[in-house]
Amino acid sequence: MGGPKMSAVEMRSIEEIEKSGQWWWWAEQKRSKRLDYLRKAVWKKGAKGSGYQPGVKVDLERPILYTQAFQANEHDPLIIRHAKALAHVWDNITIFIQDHAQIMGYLGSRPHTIVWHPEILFLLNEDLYNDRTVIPEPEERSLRIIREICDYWNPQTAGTKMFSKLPPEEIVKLMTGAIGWGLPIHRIGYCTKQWDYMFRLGFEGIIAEIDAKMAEAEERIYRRVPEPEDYEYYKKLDIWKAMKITLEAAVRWARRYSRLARIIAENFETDPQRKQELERIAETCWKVPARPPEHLWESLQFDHFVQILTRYEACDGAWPARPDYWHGPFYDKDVNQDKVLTKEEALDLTGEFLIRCYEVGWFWLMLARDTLQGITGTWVWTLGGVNEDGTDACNDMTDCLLEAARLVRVANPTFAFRYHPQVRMQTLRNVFECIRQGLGYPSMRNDPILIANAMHWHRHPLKEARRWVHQACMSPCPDTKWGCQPFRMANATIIAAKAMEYALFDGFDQVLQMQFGPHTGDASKFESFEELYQAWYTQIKWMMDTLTKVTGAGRYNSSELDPRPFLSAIYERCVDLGVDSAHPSERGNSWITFFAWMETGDSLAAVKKLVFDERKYTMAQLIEALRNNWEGYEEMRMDFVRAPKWGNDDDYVDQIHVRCHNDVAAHSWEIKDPTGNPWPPLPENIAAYVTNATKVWALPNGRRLGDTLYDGGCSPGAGLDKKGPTAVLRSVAKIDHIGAVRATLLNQRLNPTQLAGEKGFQIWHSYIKTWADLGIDHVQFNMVDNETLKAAQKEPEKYPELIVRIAGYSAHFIDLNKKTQDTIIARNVQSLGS
Amino acid sequence: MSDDWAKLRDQFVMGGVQKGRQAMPEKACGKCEHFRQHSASAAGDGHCAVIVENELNKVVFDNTDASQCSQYKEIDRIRTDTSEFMWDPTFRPQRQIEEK
Ligand code: SF4
Repeated sequence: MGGPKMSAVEMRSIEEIEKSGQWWWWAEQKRSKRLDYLRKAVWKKGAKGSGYQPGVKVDLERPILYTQAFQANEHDPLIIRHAKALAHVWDNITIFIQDHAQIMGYLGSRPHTIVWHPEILFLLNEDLYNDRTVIPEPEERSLRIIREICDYWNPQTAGTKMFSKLPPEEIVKLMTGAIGWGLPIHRIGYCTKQWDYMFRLGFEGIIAEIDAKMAEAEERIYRRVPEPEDYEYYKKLDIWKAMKITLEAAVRWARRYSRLARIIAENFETDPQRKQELERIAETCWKVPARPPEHLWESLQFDHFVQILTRYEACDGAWPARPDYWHGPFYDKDVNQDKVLTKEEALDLTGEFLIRCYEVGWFWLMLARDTLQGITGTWVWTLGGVNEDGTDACNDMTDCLLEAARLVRVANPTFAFRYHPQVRMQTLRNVFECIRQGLGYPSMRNDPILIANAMHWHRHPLKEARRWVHQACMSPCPDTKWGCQPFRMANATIIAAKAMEYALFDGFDQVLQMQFGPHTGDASKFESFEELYQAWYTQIKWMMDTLTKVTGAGRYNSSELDPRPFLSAIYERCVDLGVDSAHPSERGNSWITFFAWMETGDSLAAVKKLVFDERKYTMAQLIEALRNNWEGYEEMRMDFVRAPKWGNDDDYVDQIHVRCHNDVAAHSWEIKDPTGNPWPPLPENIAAYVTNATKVWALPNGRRLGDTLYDGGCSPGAGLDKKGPTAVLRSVAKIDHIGAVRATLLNQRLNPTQLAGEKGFQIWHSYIKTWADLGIDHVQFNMVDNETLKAAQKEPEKYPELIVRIAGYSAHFIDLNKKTQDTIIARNVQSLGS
Repeated sequence: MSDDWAKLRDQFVMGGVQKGRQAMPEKACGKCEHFRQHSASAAGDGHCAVIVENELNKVVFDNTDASQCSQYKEIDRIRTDTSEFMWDPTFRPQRQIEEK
């Protein structure tokens, strides 16, 4: 297997490389030749800034095929048209097998392509037409095809139909991007998968269940005079038919890989070992996903096929998964018991499993490209945690995944580790090793707190709450029949700092120059802190109401306007009930993401101190300074910067933050989603703390328009935590992590030198124990020093796999634009134990 | 009022649906200082910061003809290079707009 040429750096010994902290060179030497080849052959599909990387092109096969079939079946019900269109794609799209690959299934017809779903949103289509980076050669021909496809789809995309149905004021305001993020569209979501159902039955088993349901329905409506409630079966029959069309086509698509592998093995492959591999691939792809998996290579293949299939159907923007829990039993059987697979072989398969995930990409709206720059979606996989009976769920597959991550160093997927007091030590050391080697993941999640949280907000029973996975980057969701939320629309995401801006300017948006929020009075005339606080509370409640109204309406209308037959087919609940995945019949798992949240408490505290307590400034002076974006008021601005700030264990400001948290949590119970559940807040930021910098006007915490926002959900502002890591934890622990938030994100930067060796592990472990005892639900670490980051800015080619944690996801440092890179460098490096 | 919002929504939706088929005029909203691009997509949808109709700001696109607009004020800078892009008031992705 001919790998790439040895680089000069590789000539150093492993020990020398370890000492230098340049773990990407270490990984290159440690991984197998196969993994090295696959890792280097992969295309980066994430955007840098908002443009795609050179060479990445949009795939036109999928939209052409989908459109052809959708046009050809125009007399069918909508859900069946979509099912037939998908089937046509899976039956005809070009497939290929990459050298040395063992896991099949690609999104797109070439390795360098990203998929475009023209049926989702007219704006996405026009966005593509305008794009200067991804149009394939010959450009003129491609543009003509794109125009024709746009012409066909734009008047009838899911978004076109949905926007005409949703509350008009709210949808216009959402789309400006000023108050929220995301779209109320079924085809853009975060889809938790129900693996126990799929692994138990395989697709053939699910088809058998559907057949039985259809037979029963036909019995009731065709062979006798129906009871009134039976008429529902007319609708259900269409849904079951559509589900079945997609499941059968999915099996055919997998078997196309089987045939291709066999053709290559029998006719072209000369290497006997590769020939054997291809034969095994042929058997595996024939068997799964049609039938339940029995070996690790089959369960991984099954899993990957399903992930790709759902992404052919739509843009699944997250990748909820618990791979150690579901693949662990197969690992144990194959490696430990039957010994049909060596540890090294399992590691190779697992490494490739991560690489295959990393290469998945699509043409994405600008709002997602720039807020998720460097990656294509928040693929956060859940590891560790407990079993349904409360015992430790860590297993050898957990360790295998953690080891594989250090070898392949992909930025997507990343891991989040469910920490609990009984967690096995060897796995915890493995977790630490990933963090120490600068991956930025796993993030740490406090399992007992989050289980209690899931029971508090959504009434999941204990056993099911223990089955939680990350539905996106942060929010836990059980992957059970009634707990599994099939998708989440991202647009219940508010830019919370705007509520502060609106409270200060009577609901007027200073950036857009438009009245957005409700009138809450001229703030320059406010005479007490309480008046300002109540104005802010009115504005934030209005934002929560506005966005959830749109999301709820989006979900309610999706079954009819924008059904998803394949997604529906892989949920036991949907098959049982004969409903589309959008039907709100699960227990529920909604949340509102709060971007740019912690500026609020810091701003309120600064006003309280300088205007109402010390009376150094008047409200009128403050409003004037803010209106001028602090220009000409630098001395005054510095007073507001120096006012008490979150993250220093200072009750003056911390208690204001706590009050804000408790008040929005209280309002969460007053608004309900279509399943009848509350909308708890979940503060976090992805890269929106940078992109929103030009959308949020100047604030009383001293921030100017254009300055980046705070990076976490409960992290202090960059450089504002001056009293060390324990003070940060003490501040953060004042928030009720069960009753006040659905989750919240804490970023910390640690010193790599301090955490070297066994001593380093002990220091970190005692920090984690303190963090867990304080009841904080999340923490994630960057452990790369500034010298390395600055060197990577100068010579990016020498730091190809240097990874950093942004907020909720990781990215290769060199794939970020300069402004985001600078924000990582600006975060305080903490020394533990201080 | 909700009728006005519905009208705005329809202008926005229909404008977005038809936009790609219109050429870039010599004088266009996308070249004007008062254009506020919506940040959900790079499709050039936006609104005008100064022209208000029925108490609501007018929906415009980057290729909306501005030849008749008395408030048109040419923007100093236009950026089309997306590699360093963060949502930026001077950013215009429309193919026919030149960087300046
Ligand atoms: S002022 Fe006129 S040209 Fe400028 S954005 Fe508004 S409508 Fe367009």
